[in-house]
Amino acid sequence: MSEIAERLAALVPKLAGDGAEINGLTRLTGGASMETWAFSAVPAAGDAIPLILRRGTSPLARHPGKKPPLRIEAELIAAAVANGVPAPNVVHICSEPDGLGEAYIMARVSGETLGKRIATDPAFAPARAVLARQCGAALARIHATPPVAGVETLDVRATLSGYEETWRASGLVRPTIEAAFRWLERRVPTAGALTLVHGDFRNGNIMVDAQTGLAAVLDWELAHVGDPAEDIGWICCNSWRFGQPGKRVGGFGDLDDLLAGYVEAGGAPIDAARVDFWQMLGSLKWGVMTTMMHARWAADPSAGPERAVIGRRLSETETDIVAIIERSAS
Amino acid sequence: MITHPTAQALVEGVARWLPVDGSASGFALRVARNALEIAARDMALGPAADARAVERLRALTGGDGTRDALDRRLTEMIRAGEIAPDDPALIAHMKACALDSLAIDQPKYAHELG
Repeated sequence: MSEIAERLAALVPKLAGDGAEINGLTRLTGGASMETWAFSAVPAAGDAIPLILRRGTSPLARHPGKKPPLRIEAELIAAAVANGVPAPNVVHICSEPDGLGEAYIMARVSGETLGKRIATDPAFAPARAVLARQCGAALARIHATPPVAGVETLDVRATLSGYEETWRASGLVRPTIEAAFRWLERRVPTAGALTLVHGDFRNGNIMVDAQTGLAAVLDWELAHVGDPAEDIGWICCNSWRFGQPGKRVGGFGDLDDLLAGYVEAGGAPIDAARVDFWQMLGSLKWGVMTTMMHARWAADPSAGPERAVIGRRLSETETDIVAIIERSAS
Repeated sequence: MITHPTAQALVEGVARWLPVDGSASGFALRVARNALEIAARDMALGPAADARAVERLRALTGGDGTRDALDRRLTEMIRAGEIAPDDPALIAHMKACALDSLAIDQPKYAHELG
């Protein structure tokens, strides 16, 4: 039995009663700083409870993307659920005696997360009919959730100049990327109410049921306090439309429907120009990231050409950038 | 055209990596094939795309030189505010560049540019 299995076996009676055991422990993802495991808690009597363990693997999770520690992430998800956001229930935040390091346990929700299937599979047509509106409602509730202590506030100008610095440091000369920075600089939204922002709300990070639509909002590790329009712009980025550019929201829905669902659920109206700003910044961020991936490959090509090929995906983001500039100029 | 990586660097990267003991996964081999296809399209389409870009860049900047030098000049003009990011002539140029690059790098990418 692995150490993690032993620790979970010791913990699970606290979650599912005396005599409870674990089964089906499987690692789903493992990265440099974080891993995700699926398992079930099997009570002495009754049905197995499907669960997820999220756990940090480095003693202190420091990250250039500024990830909040897992405790903050877990508290945030719990606060969002309490405020009516469809998200997995957090059932346990681990502490020292659990022996699992920085970690928490949440419900394992079933559904589809593959963006391509959600955007194009005929079986998901019923979900697509309601999903944009549901996403709007979920975002309104996320943005109305009081941020828990320790959540970072990101300033839009600081974010923008951070990316520009990274871009300058690359030494690359791309007129379209330069135009994107200048276009954004002229359109920094006037300061409005800052709210909790999910930070990675896109097709691929939402769990969807083919019939009923949105089941859960996942992947909260980039949550922060900022402009609520950021989440709406990000899910509109063409990079997350999975080959369906005519469906601005995640390749499955229309922005009008998302905004209607947002306002209906109590969100303050957000104007189209503000969404454009954040969609542009989203595309630009992804473009800058592709050049960082290429730089990593150039420094050490032994791992194979995957990151080199990603370097060529800058063409995609430049196309998306020009489309936004052209649309907003007409 | 994107030069990070260049077509040559893509081909060299695949050649240097390609394990001859059959240990590469199907996924890695598909990535490698994609890299070679990008390089091949770059060699076939790149020179004409560059020539077209140079023509447009001369008109836009009033300067002359290689694509690299003219790109540099245009970038400086945009940065200095001498040409607005949504100037119609600039948009037309960026659009043509984007479509030429996409034809090389990602011809199947579904986008919104008309």
